[in-house]
Amino acid sequence: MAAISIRGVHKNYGDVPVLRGIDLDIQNGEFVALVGPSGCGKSTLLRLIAGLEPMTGGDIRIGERLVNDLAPKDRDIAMVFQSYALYPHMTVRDNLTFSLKLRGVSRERIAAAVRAASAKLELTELLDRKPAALSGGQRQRVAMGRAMVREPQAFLFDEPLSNLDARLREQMRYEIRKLQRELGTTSIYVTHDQIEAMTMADRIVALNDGVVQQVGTPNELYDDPANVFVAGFMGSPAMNFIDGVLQDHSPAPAFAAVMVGDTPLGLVKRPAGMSAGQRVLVGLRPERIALQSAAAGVPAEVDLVEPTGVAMILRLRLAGQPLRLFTTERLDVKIGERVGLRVHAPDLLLFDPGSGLRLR
Amino acid sequence: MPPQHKLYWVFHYLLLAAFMAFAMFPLFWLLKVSITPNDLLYSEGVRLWPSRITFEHYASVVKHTRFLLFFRNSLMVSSATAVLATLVAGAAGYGFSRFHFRGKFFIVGLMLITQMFPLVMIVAPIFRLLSPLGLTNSLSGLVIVYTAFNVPFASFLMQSFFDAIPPDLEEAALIDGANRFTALCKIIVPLTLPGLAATIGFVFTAAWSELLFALMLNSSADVSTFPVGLLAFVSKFSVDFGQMMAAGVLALVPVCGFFLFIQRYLVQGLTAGAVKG
Repeated sequence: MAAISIRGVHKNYGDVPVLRGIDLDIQNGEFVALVGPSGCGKSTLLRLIAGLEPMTGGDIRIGERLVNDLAPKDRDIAMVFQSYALYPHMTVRDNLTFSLKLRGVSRERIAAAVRAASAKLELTELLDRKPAALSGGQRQRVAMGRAMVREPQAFLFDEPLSNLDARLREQMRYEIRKLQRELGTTSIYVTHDQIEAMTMADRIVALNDGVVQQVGTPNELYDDPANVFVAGFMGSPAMNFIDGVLQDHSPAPAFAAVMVGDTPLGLVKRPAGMSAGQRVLVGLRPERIALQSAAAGVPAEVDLVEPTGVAMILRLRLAGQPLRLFTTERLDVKIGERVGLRVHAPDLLLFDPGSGLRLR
Repeated sequence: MPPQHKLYWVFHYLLLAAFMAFAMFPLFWLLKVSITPNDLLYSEGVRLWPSRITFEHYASVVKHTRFLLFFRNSLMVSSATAVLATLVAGAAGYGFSRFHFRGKFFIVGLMLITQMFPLVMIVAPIFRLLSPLGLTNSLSGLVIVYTAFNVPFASFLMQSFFDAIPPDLEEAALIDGANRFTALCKIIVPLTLPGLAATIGFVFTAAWSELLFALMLNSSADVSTFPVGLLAFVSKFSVDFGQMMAAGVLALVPVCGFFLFIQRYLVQGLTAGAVKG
């Protein structure tokens, strides 16, 4: 187990920059999720850490060692691939022991490691099968086992669950997390699925366009996003973004009213350097909006009702702009009905419409 | 497989049967002529099966000609070519499949160009090249020429087999503690066995049936290969069809045996990568 430190890492493919100066510190034993849309560079960053591709610039340390020029085999890390990458011509047992044999580990220790790993992952019955004869979940467990037997400094996961169906994914999510807690091995987990990142990670690193957007605990990213990208990426259904304008609030100059068209949404602390009349992007989570009587609340019109069983998504129009409301209540509303919204002012997050940065 | 209409399968098998008949008929004729006695060969003409059969052509081929020597020469040349060309093509194909390097496009283009010339055009230059090296009238000369001619196509063949193996497997091996060579030997080669078998089979057959260079580069009967030997049955005034066909049938035996042996790898090879797994 070791901490991993990434300093100023750049990666270009030809003239195309994929990673532009990544700085990241991962604590010993921490489970960090790299999350972002496809093409954001998250898998590339993982491959750089593994040593599967050369860096264009920067330093990577695993523990105390600078690993920039070390071959993957000398970095003492284990990786679980999206395709599992099990060796198809070897039995499960041989897949598990391949790395140990290459390292010249004694036969007794190999046998003990296989026993321990297969017991933990419930693979004992499958040891003499080949990967083709395993189900998706079993293959996933063999891939985990192969990483585990080595007792590496760190686990690297490259979207390991994306080939599984939804139910199995949920199950494996839990199993991987539980295993990681028991072993206490530093883990970096790449995923494009924000739910996976939220549920599994100690800390999340949100990446976009090869730049780290925000690093923090799942709740920090959810409640206090640094910019529009993070706010929009985390959470499902996604955050509402509404065009608004700030207006002076004379009784308390430290505050400003957020207006959407002619409709006041609420009073917020005036962001530094912002004056009346300036346009802002208002972020509002769908589950932080409640309905109340049409007369009392912020007026809106129901566009569509989407029941999901466990909850309801109302698609609304607020001063001509689309807005989603998420609630676990069974509301009795009809399409076209005028409703009133209750919005809690601290839930209004303001963003700069140009740069997308959070205004505080 | 989804259930199909019965008529579909009838048509399916009829079509296959027609194709088989078309493809196998020359071989059947080879066999038929080889067991037809000389006196019936012209008198019975196009009968599908002779009224009398004989194995005297086979006996005379083995006893009175140097067929066994030609056979041995062919076997040596073809085997050596198959092994050598597959080794070189395997290495080249792996390189093309896995590495990006300067001049790759140029090299691939050059290899394609070598396949575009009619062989007749380069017989003379090759002869001029080999002669001062003492490689004419020798089996090794033939092995070198055949290897050179088969490597380009075999390389592309091998490359496609390497391409079918996901790079993930190799990367997993690299992380597991292998270097590139170990990963190649322990992971890639076992998975490419069908491809290797297909390539060996292809090169072996090409070398086995090659006539032009074997005829032009080697004039001594001691180093003649089997196709050259077949020509000996053509004399100035007649062709000894019976013996020629008998020799032809004998020459088919090792090739058939060879393909029987690698057949299971071949089928795997042609369907490899079709199934996720």
